[in-house]
Amino acid sequence: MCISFRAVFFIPFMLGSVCVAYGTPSDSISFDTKIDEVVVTGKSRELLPTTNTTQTLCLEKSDRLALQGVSDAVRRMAGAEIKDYGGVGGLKTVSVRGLGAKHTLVCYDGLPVTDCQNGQVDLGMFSLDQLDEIRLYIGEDCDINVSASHFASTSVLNLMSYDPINSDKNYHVVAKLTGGSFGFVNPHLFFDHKIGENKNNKIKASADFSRADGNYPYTLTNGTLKTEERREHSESVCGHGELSGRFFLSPKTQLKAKTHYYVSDRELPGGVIYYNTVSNETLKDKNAFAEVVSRTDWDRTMLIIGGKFNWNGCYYHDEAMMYPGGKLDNRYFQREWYGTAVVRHNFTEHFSMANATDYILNSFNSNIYDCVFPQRHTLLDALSGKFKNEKVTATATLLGSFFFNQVEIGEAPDNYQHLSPSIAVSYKPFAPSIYFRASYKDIFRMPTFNELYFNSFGARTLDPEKTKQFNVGVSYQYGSEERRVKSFGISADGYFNKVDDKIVAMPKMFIWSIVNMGYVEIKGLDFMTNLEVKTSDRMSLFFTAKYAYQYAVDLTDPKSDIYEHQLPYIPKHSGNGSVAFENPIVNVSYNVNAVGKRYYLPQNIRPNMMEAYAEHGVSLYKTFDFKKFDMKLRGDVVNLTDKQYEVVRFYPMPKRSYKASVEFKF
Amino acid sequence: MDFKRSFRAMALLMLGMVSFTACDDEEDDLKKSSNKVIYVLNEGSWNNNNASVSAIDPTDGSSYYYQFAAANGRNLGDTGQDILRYGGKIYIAVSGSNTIEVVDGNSLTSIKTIKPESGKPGNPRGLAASDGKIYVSLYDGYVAKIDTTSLAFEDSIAVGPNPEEITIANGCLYVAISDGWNSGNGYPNGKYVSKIGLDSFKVASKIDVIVNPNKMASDKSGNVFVISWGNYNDIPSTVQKIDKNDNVSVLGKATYMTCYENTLYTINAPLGAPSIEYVSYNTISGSVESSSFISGTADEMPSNPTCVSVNPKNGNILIGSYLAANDYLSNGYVYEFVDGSFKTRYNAGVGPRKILY
Repeated sequence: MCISFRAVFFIPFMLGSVCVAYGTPSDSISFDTKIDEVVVTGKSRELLPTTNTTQTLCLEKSDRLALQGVSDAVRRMAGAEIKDYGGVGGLKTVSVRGLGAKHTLVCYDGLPVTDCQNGQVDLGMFSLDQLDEIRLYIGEDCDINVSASHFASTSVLNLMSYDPINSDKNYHVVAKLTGGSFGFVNPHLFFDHKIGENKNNKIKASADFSRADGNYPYTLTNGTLKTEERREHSESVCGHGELSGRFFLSPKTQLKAKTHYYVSDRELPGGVIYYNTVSNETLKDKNAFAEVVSRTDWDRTMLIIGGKFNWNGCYYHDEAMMYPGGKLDNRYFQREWYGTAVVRHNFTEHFSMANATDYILNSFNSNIYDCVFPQRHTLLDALSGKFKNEKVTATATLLGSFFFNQVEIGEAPDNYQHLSPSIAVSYKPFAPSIYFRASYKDIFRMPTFNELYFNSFGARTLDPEKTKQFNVGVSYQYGSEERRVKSFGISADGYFNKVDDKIVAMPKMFIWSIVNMGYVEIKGLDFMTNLEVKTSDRMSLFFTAKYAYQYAVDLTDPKSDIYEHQLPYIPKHSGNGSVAFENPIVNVSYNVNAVGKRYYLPQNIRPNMMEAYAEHGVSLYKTFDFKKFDMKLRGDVVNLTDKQYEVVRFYPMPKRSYKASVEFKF
Repeated sequence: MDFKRSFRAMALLMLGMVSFTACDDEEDDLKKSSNKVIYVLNEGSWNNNNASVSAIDPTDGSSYYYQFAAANGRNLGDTGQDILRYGGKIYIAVSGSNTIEVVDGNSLTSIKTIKPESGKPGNPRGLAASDGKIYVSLYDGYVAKIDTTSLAFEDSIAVGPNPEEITIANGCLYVAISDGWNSGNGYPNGKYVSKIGLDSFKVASKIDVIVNPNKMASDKSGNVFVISWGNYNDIPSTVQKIDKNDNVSVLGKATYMTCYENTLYTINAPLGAPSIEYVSYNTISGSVESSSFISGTADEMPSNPTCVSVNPKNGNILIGSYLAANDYLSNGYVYEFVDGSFKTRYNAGVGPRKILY
């Protein structure tokens, strides 16, 4: 019953992104070193990994991908899968390479967005309008300018907020209105303004609001019985507001500060129960955070210091005759204090080292009876070295993790400490952009507070869930402004993941069985390609495609009936693709997302199987340049073929729906 | 020209992507049993709509999944609780789906789906039958009476919060009142068994028992047995005997039980327990008959028991089990024992909960 609770956990942090050049030499100010990648593909940087498995999706030109939201954008990236409970208000989480959502750290502007209770983040709390760029790091990266938390997850999804750069103007304003089927309305506003003499100092403000009835029709299949139903009790309202600023304290030191507030109020239709679709559940989420980060660059040394406070409130309400007093009101509150310090020194032109230290304090309280008021102190220290020349890039990291648990009632779980190594190498043998890469990462995730403390059972003895990730890959990239084929890229990665002491939680009536059980192996292949062709002076074709193969099996007990069975919700085959045709009349893009058969329970038997599906979408868009502003119109048909499908079993997705938006940029 | 070429290229690429969708091979597992079989009600896993009726055939050791679906073309629903044969019909209480399925006693073909009205007490849990009436406990705090001719609710009575199993003895209905949703406050109203006169259909007495009563059974001499599941903490799951005069005595620790003639077979398998105990008691005297009524090698014993039952035709003991100690999601088994020794193991659905002869 906690499934809808928004969640998050760990806490890494990398500051800038290459999308933003702060006016000083661009590569020194950004927190990472993806500059070569930018050069190769020019401005239309797309998803392709190069020196490592990291992928970047720049949203400036994302209309050609016909993206329907942050979760849709993320699933276009190799290795990423989305769990979607359907509709505007339905929980959406990201899992990478079969490891589960709790292994992926979600960052917003480099700082972690966390949930110590559930360990996973609802991507539905972000909208594409807020963002400039989405970046996914998998396994060990070739980047050492990052916080220690960054090294402490199997993968990191970083969302970078919208930040227009135009040196001619003192301000930017964006106003957008989106409307769609089932009562969807979503106004969005953005504003920024320069402060003082230094053109790089500015303040930014943004706000949006969305609401939807979400009462879409669906076809319910129960054996041979098919009935037309409607997803009732699905209304959702949410909004967010943000104020941030960036100031240069000196030519070498810049400071960024941000405050953010998010609130959502949702009716939860729940999973479809045969013969009984009544639901009265509601969920209200509130999230507030404030953060400050400074970065100083000397000649060969860089220092980042940052801090953040995050607060989450979650209010769950249900009404039914079986509850004492006819209702249930559960409230959950979490707080997180986060601090990080990263120092990097370039010893030679080719060799640099960095040390990153993070301290995190998580605390949790609730009005539920068995709340033990847990706290966790986390100390992470990552020491890393990097070698880079024209052909070779290599990094090695050693992460020390220390966890101290406290509870107010009963006995606290044991403290835990661990040393985790990781390494990555890439090689670029010839002048054309061919990259070979290999990486290894040994990491774990701590049990979430829910897993440790959900009820008074022995779950406090849970061990961390351990993972080992191996990756080898190759990619080729070609780019030219003059030729007809402006860019072409192709990339393939083979990987092998091992998960030991997998934490499995199963509801058994009123009690939960939460245990470390299971050894899981995932062997996979990620393939990706993109192509941009200039068919004439004013016409271009864009093509992207991704394919993933995953053999993810339970190898816990050779005598068990589920030995070597494919893990729940992981299809062996999946992929998506998009084509866009940009021309002077109206631009059109088409996309398809296809998912092979998979199982919703661990046992691979037919009643547990979910059918394969393909979902198609078409989008039309056009930008009008007026003297003082730009206007963009866009219309979308989502799920064009009216296909009834589910991502999460018994959470039917909407059939065909429509969306339209108008956007003004001043 | 360029326009045309562009569109042609786009169409080709689209075609490629569409044909990428995978195909699946069909298999048939809705095979209907043909012989006279023993039915097993499988609870399923919460919110997964996978409650089922499976069948086992002791004559040849075969088993059949999804017999309700095979007979009716639709699934049983979510969280099967109880199954009862009365007259020529079988009644199945399905709690999550809020239905009582009435099916033909031989073919399992649906006769009627009884569904509490929206907004009225619902959530069927335990079933019992007497004198042409079916009694069903409703988790919303009631016991309802169903007429077996009209197959409609006839009457209902408030019994206490979150009633679980029910049994009939001494002309009365005994209802375990668990207050299960109020565990946070220590089940303040979940410490008794409601005794209801069948003729008056009124609460005759409240019998105090250990906290969180759940399972009920009775023998032919009017002895009633109740298992209280305790608080999953310092109060263990305990079986108690209620005599005709409402006197309660503790027999021992247990989580599942069944009455057969003058023997009460119990299993004690609380969550996370290192070992499972199989103790039988004399229902009249309450003394232990056997401290281990079945035995066998590790492979021959249930790893995660869910129920115990005795085949009235031959006295063989049948024990349901989940697939494994920590697996509450996969298809389980029914183990058969003859004179305390392992005979065979049948396939069953997820969480075999009741066995119907």
